[in-house]
Amino acid sequence: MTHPEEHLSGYVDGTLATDERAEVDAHLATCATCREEIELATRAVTMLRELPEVPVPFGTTRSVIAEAGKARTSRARRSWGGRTQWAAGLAAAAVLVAVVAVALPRVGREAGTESAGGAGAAASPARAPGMEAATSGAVHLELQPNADYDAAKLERLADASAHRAGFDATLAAPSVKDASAAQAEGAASCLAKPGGLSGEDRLVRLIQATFQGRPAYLGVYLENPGSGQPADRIVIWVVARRDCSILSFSSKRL
Amino acid sequence: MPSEERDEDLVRRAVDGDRAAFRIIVERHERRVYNLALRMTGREEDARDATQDAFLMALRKLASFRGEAAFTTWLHRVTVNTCYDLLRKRSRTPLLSTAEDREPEPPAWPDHADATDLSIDVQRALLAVPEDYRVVMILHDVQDLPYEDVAAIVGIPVGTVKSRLHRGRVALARALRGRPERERPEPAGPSDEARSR
Repeated sequence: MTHPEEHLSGYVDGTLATDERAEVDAHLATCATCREEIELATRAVTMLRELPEVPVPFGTTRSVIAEAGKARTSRARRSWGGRTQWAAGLAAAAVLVAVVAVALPRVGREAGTESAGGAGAAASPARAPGMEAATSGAVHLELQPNADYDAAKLERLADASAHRAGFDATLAAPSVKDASAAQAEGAASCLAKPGGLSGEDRLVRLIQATFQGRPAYLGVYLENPGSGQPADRIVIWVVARRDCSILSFSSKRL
Repeated sequence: MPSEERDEDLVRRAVDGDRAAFRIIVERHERRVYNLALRMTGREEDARDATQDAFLMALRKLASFRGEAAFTTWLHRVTVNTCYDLLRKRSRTPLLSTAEDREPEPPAWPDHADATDLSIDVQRALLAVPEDYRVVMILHDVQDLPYEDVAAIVGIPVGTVKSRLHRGRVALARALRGRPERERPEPAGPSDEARSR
């Protein structure tokens, strides 16, 4: 027996045309299976419609709105020079300086010094427990020529970043050498383009590798919701080295 | 009043860098986005993460929104994809955090009066339904979107939406009744028989 499955939801919803409904009625008269399913489906709909709408927990979208502010600054920076947006331009320039300030002093230091103290610590407005080493130490551009990330590895990187001050050595091949200052600056600038950075977010790791075969930069950031609140998320942005377009991102609540 | 502005106008302003416009978009839609994520994932924490990720992705892709579809359709699509990504990444059975430690109780039809218990039962049953069926039920039966919008959000034909909706509803009702899902059971006689199990 052929069951008019496509019409059964409409039958329950009362959206069938008169002739379609008559066809289903005729079928139901001879098909106990469909009669039972209509009864089940009707009960399911009743209960689904009674599910309460749950209020959004306070603060859920605060970081998103803060992010929107940063994106605005980033856009303004890109358009600076073409228009007379002085205020926006100055703000954008400040962000650019901040980006370079984060990246440059940390380039050229010896590898494996992430746990060393640094000038960045004092400037940090937010500090998550367990993240001191990552936030206060040097942030190199790590070259990982043999590492190819994907969504699962990105998730593991976010997990590892959120749960400890160091990083999971099994995530990828170890860095082979430090990059030049120019490379680090380029990577940081490339990562800053899509979303923009605010002075309150902290770059804690900068990686050059591939993402699903495409040459990419990975930036691991500690983000805070603003207003001096402690950092509450690790966010990893992956951008293409070629044009700085976003390839992927991952986030993890601390 | 800004709150009465059309979504498409707000999007245009947001793309031009108007932070206030994006805030209005978020405040206008966060409830639907969060509830969609909550029903899809079954965990408050996951729903919060999915909501944030969905709006972050929306923010990044806002400039690519062309207006061919309604903004709400587009945002729902982003949210659904975010939920799928989250469920795939975590690859674990999502459960309501408030019900994690509860043993499944296979009652007869849940005619108990406690609405909270009932909604937890329904949520748990929802999670027992395959994701592809679950999403169309949430969008259509919970969020009251028409078949056509559900089809556009999920990216499937309207006829497939209707079929999945029916299969999902039946699976949900069977899960609620503590019966394993089965495809097209043998004719079981009148519905009273089913109720007595």
